[in-house]
Amino acid sequence: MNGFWGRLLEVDLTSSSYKEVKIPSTVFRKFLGGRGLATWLLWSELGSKWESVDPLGPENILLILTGPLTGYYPGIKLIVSGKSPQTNGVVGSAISSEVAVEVKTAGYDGVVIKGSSKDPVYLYIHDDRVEVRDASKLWGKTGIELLRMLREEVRVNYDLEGVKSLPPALYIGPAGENLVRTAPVNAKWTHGAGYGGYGAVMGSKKLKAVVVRGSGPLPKVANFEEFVKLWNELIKLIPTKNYWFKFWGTPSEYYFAGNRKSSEPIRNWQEEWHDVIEYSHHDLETKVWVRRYWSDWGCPLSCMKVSIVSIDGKYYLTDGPDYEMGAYLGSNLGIFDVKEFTALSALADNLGLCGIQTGNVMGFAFELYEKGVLTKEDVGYELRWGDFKVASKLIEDITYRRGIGKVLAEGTYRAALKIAEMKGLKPEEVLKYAIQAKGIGIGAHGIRSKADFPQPIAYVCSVHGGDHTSVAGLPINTIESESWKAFFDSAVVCWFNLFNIPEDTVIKFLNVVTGWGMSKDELYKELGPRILTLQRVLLLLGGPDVYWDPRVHDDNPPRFYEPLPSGPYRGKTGDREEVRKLKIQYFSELGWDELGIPTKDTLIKLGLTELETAVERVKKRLGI
Amino acid sequence: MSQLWIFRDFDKCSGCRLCEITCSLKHEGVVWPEASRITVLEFAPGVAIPHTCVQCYDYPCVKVCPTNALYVDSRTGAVLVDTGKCTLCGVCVKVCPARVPKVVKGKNYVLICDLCGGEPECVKACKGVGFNALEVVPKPEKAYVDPYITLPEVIASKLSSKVYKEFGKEVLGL
Amino acid sequence: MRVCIKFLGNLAELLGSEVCLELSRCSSIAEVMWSLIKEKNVPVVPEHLIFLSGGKSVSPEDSICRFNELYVIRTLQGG
Repeated sequence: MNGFWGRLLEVDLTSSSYKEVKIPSTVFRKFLGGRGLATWLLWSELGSKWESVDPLGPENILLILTGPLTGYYPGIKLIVSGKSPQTNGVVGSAISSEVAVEVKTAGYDGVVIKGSSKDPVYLYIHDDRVEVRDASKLWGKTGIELLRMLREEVRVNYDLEGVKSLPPALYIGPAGENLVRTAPVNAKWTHGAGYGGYGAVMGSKKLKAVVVRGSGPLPKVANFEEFVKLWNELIKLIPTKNYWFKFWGTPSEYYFAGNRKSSEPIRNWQEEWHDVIEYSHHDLETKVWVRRYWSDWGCPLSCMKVSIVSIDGKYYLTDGPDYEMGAYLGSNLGIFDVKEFTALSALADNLGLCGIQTGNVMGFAFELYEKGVLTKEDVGYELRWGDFKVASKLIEDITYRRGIGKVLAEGTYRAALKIAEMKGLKPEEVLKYAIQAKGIGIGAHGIRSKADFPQPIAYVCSVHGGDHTSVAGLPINTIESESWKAFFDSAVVCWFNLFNIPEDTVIKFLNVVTGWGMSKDELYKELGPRILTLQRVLLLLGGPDVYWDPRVHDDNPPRFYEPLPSGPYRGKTGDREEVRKLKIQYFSELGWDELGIPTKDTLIKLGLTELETAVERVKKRLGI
Repeated sequence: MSQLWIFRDFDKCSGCRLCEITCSLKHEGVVWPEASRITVLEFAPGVAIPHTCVQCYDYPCVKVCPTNALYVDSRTGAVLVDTGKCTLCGVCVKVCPARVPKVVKGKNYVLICDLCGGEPECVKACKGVGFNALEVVPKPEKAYVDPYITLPEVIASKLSSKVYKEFGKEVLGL
Repeated sequence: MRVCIKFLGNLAELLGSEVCLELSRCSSIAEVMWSLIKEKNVPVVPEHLIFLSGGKSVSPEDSICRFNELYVIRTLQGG
């Protein structure tokens, strides 16, 4: 095996025990690591009873997985997964964290966490030393405070060199502890694995943090000379090809997406265009940035910046903010002041909330208030667009499940159903304000203008619902399709370090590391469809609280069929007939039927015949 | 020809750790950050200190080594390790004022930067990627080298005040 | 010299699904893209484009006269 170990560390929190689990290299060849491996593992362990597994119960399995390219291809991402509390399927949720390399240098391709603890614990892994430690003093702590306490824990209990630096750790904030369904798994002050809601899974297991230190080498690569040559080329090529992105990062989207591409969420997506030039990367740079380059492990692109804002003598520190965080906690709430949405982004980071999902549900709540569905009595205060203090308060209410926060903490989809019930309304009457797909609030790139990257079926056909980093699209054998995203989420490579790098180069890199002879054809015709097919079946199995019906839920949110009211793409909107046709074409090219259910032939072709009974279960539930 | 030295511009270090990767590739033939002779320590966001040997003029580590395993390369000025003589006693680690020498599981000798024989790989990588936090210069005068002989957290403290101004100490939280 | 450029994904919406050009001179692919984008005033960054011909990726600095068919796809941006 080159590039990976074929070995996972499995920890059982119920019995406080652990063991090593071997994974054959054939599995890595068929699914790679990360998202693909996670889906296969979850299917293997839980597939036969999937519908009844409560994502927030002890049966769910939390996965922290690297892939064959982790530590080799420049940049870093780590995949966190399990049964998703949001979609009830599997999401391969990516986070930038050096824990990926620490896990791999400790001698594992990943960590599998089963069961749950009665009392708060954290996991400490240092090479072959594995300990489940008491976290009662850490429980309740917010991000920054927690990291410092972990630093002391690690320093006092273990003699380590350079101990005053921050320990490599994944952790949750109070939001995850309180089972906020959309809570991310956090790292490094400001990073998060947001999509999927795996912070809530950690919270349900009473797992506050996972600290990992690895002191060994990474696995050998198949062709060392080629690898060193390619690596040296890529660390120069990636920044050269992405000069602007390196310099400005994702914050360059605030004005580009909003003013030119007309695809930025504004006041719960009621508009997608703005002309506020102060809402831009220039203003961020001059008003809040203190560091232009803040890299993650092995990353030549360094898109993240460090921002700090001072309000009432307190400081708020965040990265960027990354476009998604800022758009959702900025323009989506009617807030265009860079200092204010920077502070909200920092608040979300520290409390352990997902900026996208929280901004999404807040925008939803604000509009319900605007339309009179929610009242001052329901909330306790007025939900005013553009009001920073109100937004700060609501963020805290969601974190601690106070007042209306208790409902909103369930995520936009479930909150909509609950509010409809509360108000004696039909679900559609409230769902029409919910901008989400399959339980996941849609990322800050709209489809109506067609000037941004997501195609009309981007969120309709994605096995990750509203995840903008895993959109579906045509042609099926190009980077527009979700197969490409399944690939890089499973190789585990940062999407940004693939910008402007031809697929051939990336596949060559994979082959140089693993010694495999993967081709572009194999990626698009077998690997991608295999992972997506498995994810699709689990998504359709769903349960226990929510199930998806392809006839209803393979669709855009209702708002995406309302014409854009302003800007250069005014009048443009989603076209139901176009979506229907493209959806059928996309499904068919993936080897699925018109309802997006994988056909028997496809299962055979992809080596997934074991899924046949699961597909029967899906069909039975749908009455077809 | 003068000896050489790796100049560090702490303002420019992004914390990417490409230097660690390339150092381990060069010295160990595998990606092994722990065995890198340069270590990037991150104390707070944006406060990353690339830490390696500064080739102190009085070479306390060389003086104190009980088996004479450490010696100075007169051409580059680097501290070199005679791998046959090193017993991993750890005395050089204790005596180094900057806590530079590394004892790493899987290596049977102490790890100290050898300046790659004159063309440090870490500098190449840092320049290649465009952060330019490291540069090769002729070895400076003792008065210029001495202030670098300190623990990374001390440098981090100064950098944090520079980056975060009045919040420097609070953000660092040390 | 005639080249047909096929734009994939949403690029087709902005620049047309297929644009055939009669070339009088051999500029680079990058230059041709620049003029097309400026002419239509669309929010496409030329540096965000990847070019394919015969299934293989092609450099934007290559002369457009080398190809009679070119596929253009936008590298995703934004996060």
